[in-house]
Amino acid sequence: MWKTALKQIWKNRKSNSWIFIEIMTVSVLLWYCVDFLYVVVRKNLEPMGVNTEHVYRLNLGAHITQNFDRNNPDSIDYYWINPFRQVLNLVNAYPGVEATAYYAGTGLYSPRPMFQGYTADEKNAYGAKIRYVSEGYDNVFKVKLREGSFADWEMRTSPQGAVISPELADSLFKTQAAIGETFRDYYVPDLKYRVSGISAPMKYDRYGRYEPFIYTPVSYGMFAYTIPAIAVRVKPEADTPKFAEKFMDEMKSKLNIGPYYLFGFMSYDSRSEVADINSGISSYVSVIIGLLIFFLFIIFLGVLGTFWFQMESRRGEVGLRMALGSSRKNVLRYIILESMIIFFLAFVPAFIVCANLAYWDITYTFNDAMDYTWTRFWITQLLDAAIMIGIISLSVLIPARRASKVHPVEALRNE
Amino acid sequence: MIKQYFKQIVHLWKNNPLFSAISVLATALTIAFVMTLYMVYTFRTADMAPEINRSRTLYSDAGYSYLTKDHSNANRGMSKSTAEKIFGNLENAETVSYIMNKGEGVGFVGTSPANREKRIVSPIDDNYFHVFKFDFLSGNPITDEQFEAQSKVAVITDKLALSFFSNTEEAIGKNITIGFEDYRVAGVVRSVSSLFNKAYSDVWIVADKTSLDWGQQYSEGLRGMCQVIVAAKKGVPLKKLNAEIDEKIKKLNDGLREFTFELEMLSHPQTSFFNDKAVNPAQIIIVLILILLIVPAINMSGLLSTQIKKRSEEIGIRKAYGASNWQVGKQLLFENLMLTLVGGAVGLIFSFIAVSIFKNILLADIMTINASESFDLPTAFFFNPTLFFLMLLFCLVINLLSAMLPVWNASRTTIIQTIKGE
Repeated sequence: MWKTALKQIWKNRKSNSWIFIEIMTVSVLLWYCVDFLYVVVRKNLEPMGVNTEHVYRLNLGAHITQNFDRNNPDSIDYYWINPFRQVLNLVNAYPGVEATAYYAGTGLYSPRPMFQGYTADEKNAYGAKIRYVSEGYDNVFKVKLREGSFADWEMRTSPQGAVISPELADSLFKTQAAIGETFRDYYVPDLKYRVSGISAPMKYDRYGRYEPFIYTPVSYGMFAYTIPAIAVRVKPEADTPKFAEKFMDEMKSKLNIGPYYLFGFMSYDSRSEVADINSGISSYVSVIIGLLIFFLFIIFLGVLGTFWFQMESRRGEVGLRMALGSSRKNVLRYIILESMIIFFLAFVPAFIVCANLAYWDITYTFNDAMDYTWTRFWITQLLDAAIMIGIISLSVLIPARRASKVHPVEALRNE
Repeated sequence: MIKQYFKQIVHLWKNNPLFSAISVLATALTIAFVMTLYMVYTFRTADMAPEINRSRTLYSDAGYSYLTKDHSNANRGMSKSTAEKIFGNLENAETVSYIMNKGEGVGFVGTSPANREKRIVSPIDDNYFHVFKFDFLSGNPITDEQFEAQSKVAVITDKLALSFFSNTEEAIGKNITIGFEDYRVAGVVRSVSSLFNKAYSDVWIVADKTSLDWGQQYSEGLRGMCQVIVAAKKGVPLKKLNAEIDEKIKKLNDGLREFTFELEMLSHPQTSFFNDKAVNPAQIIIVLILILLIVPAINMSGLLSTQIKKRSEEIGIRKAYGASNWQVGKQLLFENLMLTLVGGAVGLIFSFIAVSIFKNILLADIMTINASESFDLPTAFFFNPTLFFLMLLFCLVINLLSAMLPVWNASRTTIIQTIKGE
């Protein structure tokens, strides 16, 4: 069967050479699309280290009507911290709210991260993204911890508690067994920390990599410079699509406490969508998916057309086969076999081209998000081949079925 | 002769419905994709009011400063005084506008503190209205004197004016509340689609000098919330302007004692796609379009060869009667061209539909999300002769690419070969 198929393919080489070139070209181009989408899907499946389902971000604005002394803790207490606590109490009492916490520094799905430098040996400095968080933050975001906990979270103790990500532990202490170790802020020698927990790997946004991260308490002084964002975890049964709107309507006037007023209330899922659109990923993904569909359509039309016309001119051959005892099913199988052989013959050079592109790193897809590994190459090649086989089988089926329905006598008579 | 051609073409389509259908479909799909890509690119980068100077404008990023010796005290931001040192005396610039880096720019706007809605508020200077061309329905733009005096004046859109007051003339001189402060309406402009992410806003106010400039005590006076929009003089390439700006930044750094200041300028296409200077959007679009044109051309070449083979008898007879290679080839090309043109027209319509339906996916960015309403595509753009000519051009390219080889082959076969039935 194989020998016959190869012979026939060679015999029809004029007609087959076009579809051969097309399959080869599209296999390479499709591979780019598949590779890109593969990275997108993998990145989305990677855990963030925190859980943002049913969590909302509450932003307060401030209307400064009085003077206060930035350097006087009592002034800060009176002007900023006490009203803030009142706001928190009111939010906590809202029906459906499960837990609240507040934070400053690197936000989640926000455009501007905050960095600090740290040192453990007084010589080498390592950078990390910093998030200043209140007690209860781990409860709201279900922060995954590998070891330890968010302990020593009093604002005024020294050394302060710190939960660090595995990458930071590696940089500072060259080991993951870092609980209890101390280190300090590189530029501010008085700011000392003690590791109270090691978190799961942390990402700053969905398409980034796992990076050094540090969680420490919010200091009193911060309130003089920034308004912490409030994270609100809502009970699953209370989290309806209109929850945010309802909250804004009902709490707008109630949260006019001290200098604060309610500025915004949005779920983190919406925030992440906004972040994706802002970075251009969303439109990039839609263009790539569009290209993918385009290539599939073109291949479909091409294979359909080529095999249809081939079958028309090969009716005599089909008739002869059936007259000599081949069943309809066998004829169908044979035609599909031919198409598959053409595909594999065309895929070999395409594979070599792709391998070269991968080796010389000429792939334009997202290399800073994920390392280019051979696993990634093999998986994407497999996916590419599978998609091509799928679309080719589908499109060859139509002319093949038509050909196999031919009555052998008619076909032979026509010849 | 032409009539004869058309008669034959109609006959051809009737007798070979599948071939014609596949060719038309493949061409339609290709043209639809290519034109959609082109439209997305043009919407984002062509000169369109109010952003009529897109092709000669550079936008600054937020600015970045740090202590030179150890890179500590690193912060984003630029003060107006720093910006003036860089942009104050540019030879290659026609207009320089100093505005506030407003981020998402959301503020509460209303006629009284009780009835306020979230709107986009843009703090600007007077030169802003020289870079962008707005359609003033009543009143005036912000003037130089108003900016210097830091007057609390605002320019609002007609949609906003009509929601607060009865008509756009009446709005002039009235008070509105933005945040917790009162502003007097100085002008009303026609609303702008949030597609224009640099010019879009609901309200424009005088930028606050103390926010633009944080003073000498912060990083040698380098910090503030200032951003700059520069329009180059007509005929000056943006590279030249950019080079001059880089020179000025270097001079600024030479004069700084402890700090280093960095600033990057982006052209409009660079801000519309990926916000990255390393990627050239025009190049990517061109490569994409080439790929999109070549692949179906290969497809159709194959189909065309088979079709032509079927007609070899006809070609043989015509040659026996004296038709030259060129005449045979010409007719085949023409027939193929008709098919691609039909496909092209269908494809163009598909692309219009696609852009309208998928505009949120294709064209959205941070401004369109925060805008008070869904954004409109300027309909005038769809009735643009350039689009039509481009469609014809792409059809021609596909036609030539796909028909070249098969037609050349066909017209070359000798008479004897075809009549013998090879």
